[in-house]
Amino acid sequence: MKQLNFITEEIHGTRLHFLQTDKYKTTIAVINIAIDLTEENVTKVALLPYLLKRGCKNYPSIIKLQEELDSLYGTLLSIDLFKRGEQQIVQFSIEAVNERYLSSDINVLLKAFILLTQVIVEPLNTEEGFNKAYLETEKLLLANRVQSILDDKIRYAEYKTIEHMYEGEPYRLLVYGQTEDLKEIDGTNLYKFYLNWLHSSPIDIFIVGDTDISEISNIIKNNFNFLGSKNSFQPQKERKFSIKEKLVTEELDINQSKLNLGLRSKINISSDAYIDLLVYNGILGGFAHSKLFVNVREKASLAYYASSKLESHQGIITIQSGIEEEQFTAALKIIREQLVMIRNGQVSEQELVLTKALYKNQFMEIIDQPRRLVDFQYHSILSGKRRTIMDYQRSIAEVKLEDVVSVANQVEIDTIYFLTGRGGKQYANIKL
Amino acid sequence: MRTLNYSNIAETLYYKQLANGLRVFILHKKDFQKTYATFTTEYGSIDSSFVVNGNNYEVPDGIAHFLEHKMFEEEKGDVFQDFAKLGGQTNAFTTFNRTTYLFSSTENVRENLEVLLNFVQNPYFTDENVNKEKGIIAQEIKMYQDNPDWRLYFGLLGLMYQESPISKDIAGTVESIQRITKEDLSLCYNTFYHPSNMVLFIVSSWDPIELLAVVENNQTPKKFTSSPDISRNHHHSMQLLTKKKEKTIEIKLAVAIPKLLIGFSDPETGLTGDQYLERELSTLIMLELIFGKGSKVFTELLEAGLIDNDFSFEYQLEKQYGFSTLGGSSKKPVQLLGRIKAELNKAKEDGFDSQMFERVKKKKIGEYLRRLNYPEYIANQFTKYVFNDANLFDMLKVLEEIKLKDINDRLEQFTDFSAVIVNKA
Repeated sequence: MKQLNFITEEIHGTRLHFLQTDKYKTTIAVINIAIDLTEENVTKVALLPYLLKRGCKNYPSIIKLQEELDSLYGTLLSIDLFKRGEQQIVQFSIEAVNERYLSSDINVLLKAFILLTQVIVEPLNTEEGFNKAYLETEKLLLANRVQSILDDKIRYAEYKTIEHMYEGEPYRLLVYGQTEDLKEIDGTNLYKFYLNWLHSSPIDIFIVGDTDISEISNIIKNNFNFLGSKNSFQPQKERKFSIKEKLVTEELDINQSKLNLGLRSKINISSDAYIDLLVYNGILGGFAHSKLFVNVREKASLAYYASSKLESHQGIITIQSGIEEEQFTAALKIIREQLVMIRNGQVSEQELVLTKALYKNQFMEIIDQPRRLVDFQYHSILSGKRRTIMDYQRSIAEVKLEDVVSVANQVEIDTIYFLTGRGGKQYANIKL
Repeated sequence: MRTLNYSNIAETLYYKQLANGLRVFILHKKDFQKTYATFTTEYGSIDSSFVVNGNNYEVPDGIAHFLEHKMFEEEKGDVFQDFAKLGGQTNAFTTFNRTTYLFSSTENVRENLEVLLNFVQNPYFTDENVNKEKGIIAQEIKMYQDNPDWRLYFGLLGLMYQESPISKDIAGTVESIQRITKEDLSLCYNTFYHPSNMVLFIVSSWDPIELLAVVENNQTPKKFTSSPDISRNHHHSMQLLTKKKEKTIEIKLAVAIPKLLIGFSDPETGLTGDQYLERELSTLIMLELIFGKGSKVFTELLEAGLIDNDFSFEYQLEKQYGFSTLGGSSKKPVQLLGRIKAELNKAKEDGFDSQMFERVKKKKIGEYLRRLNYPEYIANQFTKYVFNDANLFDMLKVLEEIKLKDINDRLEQFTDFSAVIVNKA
């Protein structure tokens, strides 16, 4: 197997991580900028990538910017926003075609990378701050994004489960921000915020592909010079929580009801027991041989999807399923039984072996996908717990049933969320 | 085995049609950890009425998809587990005209490949397991019923193709699947899962000669009947049912922001080979020129509050049909519809700028090369093209030959439209 490690260098407080490979027809560059997820800042941060993508000094409109990207053989410039634990991360990335497949000899990656840095550091602004017209449009679009969460009922139910689970805590916040904050934001205060965000947030730049890294490194030296950057992540603060199982119900005009659960544990990606929690999640609901799929779907025919997901930094597991409204009690009973069974060690040798085999495969598959490699590396940077893909392979192989049982006993139901069609109110008073 | 070198994209493809008719393609990707393989039959949701060896059959809607679910069950248990034991992940999907079974794995390649070939070629249907699946698929159908994009899409197909099978949900309806029996499943299986109706596509770093040997050793001992003589009743009916007048309908759903989807169906179909690729590329380039993120129209619509960043377009082309769709979220869907019509007319009058055309061609080159990083894309897209007698790896060649005139000609065919609006319930 080829060398898979990123080589990291620090450039004026920015970390550059490089993985050299000629396996792909493209090279990617990813820039992650992280900031604490807070009530106060969430909406401002959420506006920034969209506003910056409107154009920069050299390419002062969507059209000019897109024309340049198209000429660079359709280089993709993407933005993304995501939560990792209580960090709100803004991601900018480009994917550029390697010259050897092109009839022309322009260095697509370098030109695209310069463009990317310009988008971030040379925004369209006047002395008063950001361009007002663009900002107003982006405020409307942000409001649309927030409202649109409702449109995808699977995502909506997941979001509402988290919101109820983390009442009063930053993690409940939607990464797209809050509509009610928008009226306070103008070009001046947002620009000031932007400068501070850029100069004080940890920045990680990843390059995966076939390129001369010294040239990238020079561009960073010239264009990305933020001496003030603080570059270490504080380990996630341990929040005290007392778990009292609660049921929340909601009604919408829908055909299929959604039963979601939020479970807490005291283990997260920084813990040594994290690998045990990962395997626990696999046995519970990560795969098609998992307890939820087999018992809720295959045996009881109650659902098409019934699965569980682990949020690694937060140490929570969420369960999601789509069912007939009147099957609420039946489905919840089966889900509870699965949790109890794992606690009691009622896990077959087969369930354990299959789960490990599929995780092993999933970690190996990361190697084929540059974006997933970057993501994997970034998890490790954020958590402060360095584990390589091979470390995961080894640790997963070593997990024993008693380790799984041990974490199972630390997992507690926090929130049960039930989204029904109209007239589903009766479920709010059901005895759990 | 034939070896096909595509030096312009640095890919080598190996091909052989086996004695039983199965077409096997192997793409060698050195350095890739995972092997990805798809096993596809040219059979999908629109094949609900057909003639086999002189006999006429009508089967309930949703049967191809139902069959896909049931293939995963064997007498000795669940196929998911057989793969999982070998570290393989499996899945399947059904479209209008294809059903694909697949796995990906980073080890036990030979064994996983054998499981794939064996489970797809070993149906096991009982009254009990067929009935049990009905509850699961009913929930799958209901899940999609709540999905606004899905509703838009099928609402639009209903307008464009009326009662034709393409306008029906791929999974059927909660009612239609109740009628499905194990005899129906066997009939469809025996008709459409003959190796001569199927394509195996493997992307792997494994030696192609060894992989082919695995496939041949698996296939040679298996007995198949002679390939059935199939005629599908939709092939001629699809075009007859294509609409003639402009139409708009509204659907009420629990959405926050309304959505619009506009469709244009192709007046003529049945293109194959390079002509098929040329049609697909010229359509997408034309739409990119008028409505792409780099177009003047896109910025204007965004500034006018008529669209969101999710505004996009697609083109679907198959032997039996071809149609383009455009749309996205919009607070003023009716106004947006008017603007899109106006912009198409304006483009017909003004024509296209040749510099912009060259730039969009470059963009398409990059997009194509980027997609070749993904084994999933290659396997699925290549197979789709095989069923249309076209070759995914000829794309660059065809792209380079496209002229501005082709784009203008294509635009002229965009006349009658159908549109669906999803509004707040």
